[in-house]
Amino acid sequence: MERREAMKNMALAMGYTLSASTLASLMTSCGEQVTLDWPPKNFSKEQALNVETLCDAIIPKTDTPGAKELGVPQFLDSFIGEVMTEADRAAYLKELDAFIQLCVDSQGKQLYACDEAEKKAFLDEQNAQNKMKYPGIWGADMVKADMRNFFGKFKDTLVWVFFTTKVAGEEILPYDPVPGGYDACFTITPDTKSWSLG
Amino acid sequence: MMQDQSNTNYYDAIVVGSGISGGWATKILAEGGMKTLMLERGRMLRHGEYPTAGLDPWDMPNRGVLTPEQNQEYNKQTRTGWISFDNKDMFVKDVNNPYDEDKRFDWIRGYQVGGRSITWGRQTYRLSDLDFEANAKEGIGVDWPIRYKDLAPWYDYVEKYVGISGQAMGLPHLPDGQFLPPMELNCVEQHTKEIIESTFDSRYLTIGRVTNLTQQHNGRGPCQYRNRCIRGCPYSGYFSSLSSTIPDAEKSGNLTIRANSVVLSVIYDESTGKASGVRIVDAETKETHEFFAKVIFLNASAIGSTSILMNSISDRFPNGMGNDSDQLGRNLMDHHYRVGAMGFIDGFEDKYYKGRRPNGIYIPRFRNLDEATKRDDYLRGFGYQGGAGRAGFDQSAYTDGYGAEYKEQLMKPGPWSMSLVGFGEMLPDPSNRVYLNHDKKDPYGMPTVTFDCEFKDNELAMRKDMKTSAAEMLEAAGFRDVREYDDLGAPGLGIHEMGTARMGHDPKTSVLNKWNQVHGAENVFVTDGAAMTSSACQNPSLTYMALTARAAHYALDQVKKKNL
Repeated sequence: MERREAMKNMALAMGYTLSASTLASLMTSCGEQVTLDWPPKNFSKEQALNVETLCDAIIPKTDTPGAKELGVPQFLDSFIGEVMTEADRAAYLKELDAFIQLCVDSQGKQLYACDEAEKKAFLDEQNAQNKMKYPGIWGADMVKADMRNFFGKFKDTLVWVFFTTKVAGEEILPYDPVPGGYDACFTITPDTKSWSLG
Repeated sequence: MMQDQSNTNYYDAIVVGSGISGGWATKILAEGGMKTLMLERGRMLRHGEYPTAGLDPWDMPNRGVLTPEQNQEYNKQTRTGWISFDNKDMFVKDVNNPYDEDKRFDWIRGYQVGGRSITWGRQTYRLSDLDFEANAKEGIGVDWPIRYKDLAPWYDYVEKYVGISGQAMGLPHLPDGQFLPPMELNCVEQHTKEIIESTFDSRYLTIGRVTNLTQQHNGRGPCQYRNRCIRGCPYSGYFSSLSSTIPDAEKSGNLTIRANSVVLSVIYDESTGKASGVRIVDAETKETHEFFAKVIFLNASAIGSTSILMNSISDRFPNGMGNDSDQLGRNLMDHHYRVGAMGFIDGFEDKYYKGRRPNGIYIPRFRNLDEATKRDDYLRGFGYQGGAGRAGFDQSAYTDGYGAEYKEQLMKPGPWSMSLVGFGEMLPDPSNRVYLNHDKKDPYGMPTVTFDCEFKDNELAMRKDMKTSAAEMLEAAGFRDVREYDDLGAPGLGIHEMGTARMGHDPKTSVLNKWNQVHGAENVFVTDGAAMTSSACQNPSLTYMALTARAAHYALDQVKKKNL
């Protein structure tokens, strides 16, 4: 707890206060005890902590909000309760547990308890093992066998959920609900972003 | 029990079904002065009543993904892979509309006023004499009783009203029509077109011919490039009966629409040798009613119209109305698709587009056109649809990494890819059929249908070519990581079911004559997909519209001459 106190003091010394959640996220990055500030409905508390950490690692806050700021972990918690059958949900959570265990095997602790270097070591490992999926056409999968690992599948879902939040869809990416016409081909700059609505 | 015999049950014409062909029959008959009753088994729906049309992904529960309970309700419709919160109300709940399958058949239906004209793919291509003559030349099925010249003026007629954007090409086997300005190809499509046309004989790439309006047309549109057509379009950007034929028919003052009206059978009058009306069940009250008219058009979609005829039993027609030939329900066809290839292409990283074009490319048929393009391994041919685009954040599936850099990358336009999806002709085969199961009734007392239909050798042989030819073209155009795919699925998935009450010269081998009249009950017309004598490989709705316009004008003329 010394570190927590130290940070609080430092913040005070610099003239601003830290909210509990900001503090918690700073603490996460220090690899110390983290707490969950929302009650999961379908994840266990431990699963939720790992999911939140994973969300934050894959889509962190940059000059735009990250997955955690936009409530993606909470959405995923609700989503698996709504769209999965009980059996599918149980199987999914089992996969999640196996993923959590992989981190324990690799780093000696769960993902949420890892420091930055440990997190990077584990996720680099997982990323290397994930085989890319080829995009499908009109509902038909191009590759029958699913070569992605849990990390890869989680990433897909997370990315989709993140970029279809209202904030990402209307503010982070260019939002054009009624284009009114089609410009078939124009030259872009390195700063051009992809359209929010695909 | 005596039925209501008040005057309101008597009309000049009855049209069963409100989809793309029913809308046309209704418009022409009502505008021609006939008091017309349109019967629709589904709910009432008015143009503009599209509650999901403006929803973004974040506005929908669970981003639009259905719950397990909803998936169960739509357990056959979901075989398409694209039933979602935004469009599910335009499709039937399978639990309430059961059918059986000796062999898998994906029967995708939309029961509401407007039918599937709300959710259709909007691609519109003419058939040609290559198609109309094929059965006779090859000894397959029966000969079409019409040729291109019989239908050409009616293609013109419906196209002028519908509004079809497309590019004239001058190909004899894919006749040009009355086109609004075409939509544009994007730069990768344009590049691919140039390579294909300079590399391969007889192969062309063009923008899809589509009923999305590139300019205002008859007070509708133009298309806003939202690509949410399937939810219904508040801008009337594409053609549906709801946006056009039905409101125009209503302006005549001659149209009555009765929704929630499940037609059980056509009533045959032995004394006149004609049909006198139809028997329905009100889906809400479960009461039966009879409605009478001089002329009856069946436009309930191929399987719907066929099952009504099958259930119309009389002394004259013990095996179903018009079924002296035993061909009613047989020769069921669809198009086989979900076969082709896709690949990525480099070199266009600085190019992008604006707008979500609700249309793709079309590569017209290039096989078995003549001696030079003749194949030994199969009859007929196929066309390709598809298109090129740049990935957005969905590039995640094939983008390595995680973290801040990964996030930034997902926010940039991703790789260009292009897909080619073949749509192939399916031969008519009497063993491919649908029949009624009188032992199992639906909730309205109508016998349910059972499908016994499969793709056969000709289709399977064609698919091999569809797959390799697609890959060959993409590779020629410089695509990398080209992957072939073949996801056969089952008939029905093309949602082009047709052929079960085919047109023909001879009542002994067909159900309808050259004017789409039922043999033996000439005041009954069937002008939906059921009428098709062969399937061709083109998207069929335009042909249904042209056949309907032709038959409805003929009916008007015959009524005037007191022949009906």
